[in-house]
Amino acid sequence: MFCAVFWNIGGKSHRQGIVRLITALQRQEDADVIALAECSDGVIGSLLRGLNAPGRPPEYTIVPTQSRVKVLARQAIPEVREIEHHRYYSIFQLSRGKLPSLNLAVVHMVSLLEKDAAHIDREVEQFAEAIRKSEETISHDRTIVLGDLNAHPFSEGVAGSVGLHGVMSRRVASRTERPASHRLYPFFFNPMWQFFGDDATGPAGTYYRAGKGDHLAFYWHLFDQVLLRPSLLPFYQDDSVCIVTKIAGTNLAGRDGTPDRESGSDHFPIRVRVNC
Amino acid sequence: MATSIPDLWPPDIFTTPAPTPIAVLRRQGEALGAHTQNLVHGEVETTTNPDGKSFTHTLYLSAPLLRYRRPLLNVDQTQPQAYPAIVWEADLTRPPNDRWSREVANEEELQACIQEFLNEPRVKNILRSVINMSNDVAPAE
Repeated sequence: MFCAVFWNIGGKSHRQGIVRLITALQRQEDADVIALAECSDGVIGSLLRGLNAPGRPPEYTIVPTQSRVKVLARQAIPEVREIEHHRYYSIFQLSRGKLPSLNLAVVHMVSLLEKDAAHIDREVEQFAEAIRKSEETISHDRTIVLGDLNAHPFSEGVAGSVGLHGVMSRRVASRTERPASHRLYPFFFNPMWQFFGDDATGPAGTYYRAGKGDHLAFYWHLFDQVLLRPSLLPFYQDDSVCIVTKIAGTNLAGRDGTPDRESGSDHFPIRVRVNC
Repeated sequence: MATSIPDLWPPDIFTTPAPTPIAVLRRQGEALGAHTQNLVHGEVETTTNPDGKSFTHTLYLSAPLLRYRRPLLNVDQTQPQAYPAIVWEADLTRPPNDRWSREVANEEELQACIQEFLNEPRVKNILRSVINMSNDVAPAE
């Protein structure tokens, strides 16, 4: 079993109780990898202290990244090596002894406050290309994408063939690839589609932004996403991915159900588990 | 009918009689991590020399919050057997025109030698400094 969590903590400092929440999130989900966006060195260091009891063999270690995503990994994972990176993402090879190795791509894409959607789509396409390149290098495609893409599951960069090519159906994804304009493009399965709308088990997104007079307003956004290559589908279950709204009794949502920055962050955390 | 081909490797090559220099160095790296909650720890890397039968094991001092990773101590395994070995300090702590170095005949001597090195005042100064700076980034509650 492998478990990873991702949380955009919105720049909260360790004095604002965020370290206690992330430590509790790790315990609640039994996460092997914790990936954080908008996270300071002070928070990651305090988190390390929170996870590693003084004077005892440490359980977690900081995985140095060349990107702006901060990562902690369980010391028991024999090797976590960054094999591709950019300011917005890090791609890791996780060697796990007798268990199948994994390729974990963590991302915090440039913000919609800084660049427009078309620019972000091109960046996500670059990210997708880096993933394909890393899969060639390590000769397998057991890849998990995890992070804040600042794009919707239906955005061109996420759904399009030259992008992540994430589809909403496991059955479609299990076809593994699809030709477009006489070239083959590999699929990702994007389970985040299941969270859209009020019929979903959890909130209708991971991030909420009111309309503010715009003609097009979705209110709820699924910028924080997990995508998996079809090779991991045999290890995927219906509850493998979730949006976390409560941590150890602390409700991360306000009265209206949207992420409450006071109690947590303006994003909800997400969690992925695969049975391998 | 296909004949089965036996495993011809001598079984006694798969047993390790005593902790190798890698194991001793790695243990020190982990122990440093235990003292500092992994804010500072040691990592071991091995390089194979061109002859293919001698190796250098390097203990790196790593402080991820400072983006700091430097070689601290080396152990040359000059033949395929683990011992004797030569222990020598990396440039990080090396005084001008001098280099601390010892030859060790076995695991016990290696441990004594590493302890001697880690207790050198110039080495303690570096270690203290890296630990203090990491503590400054993430103060204990």
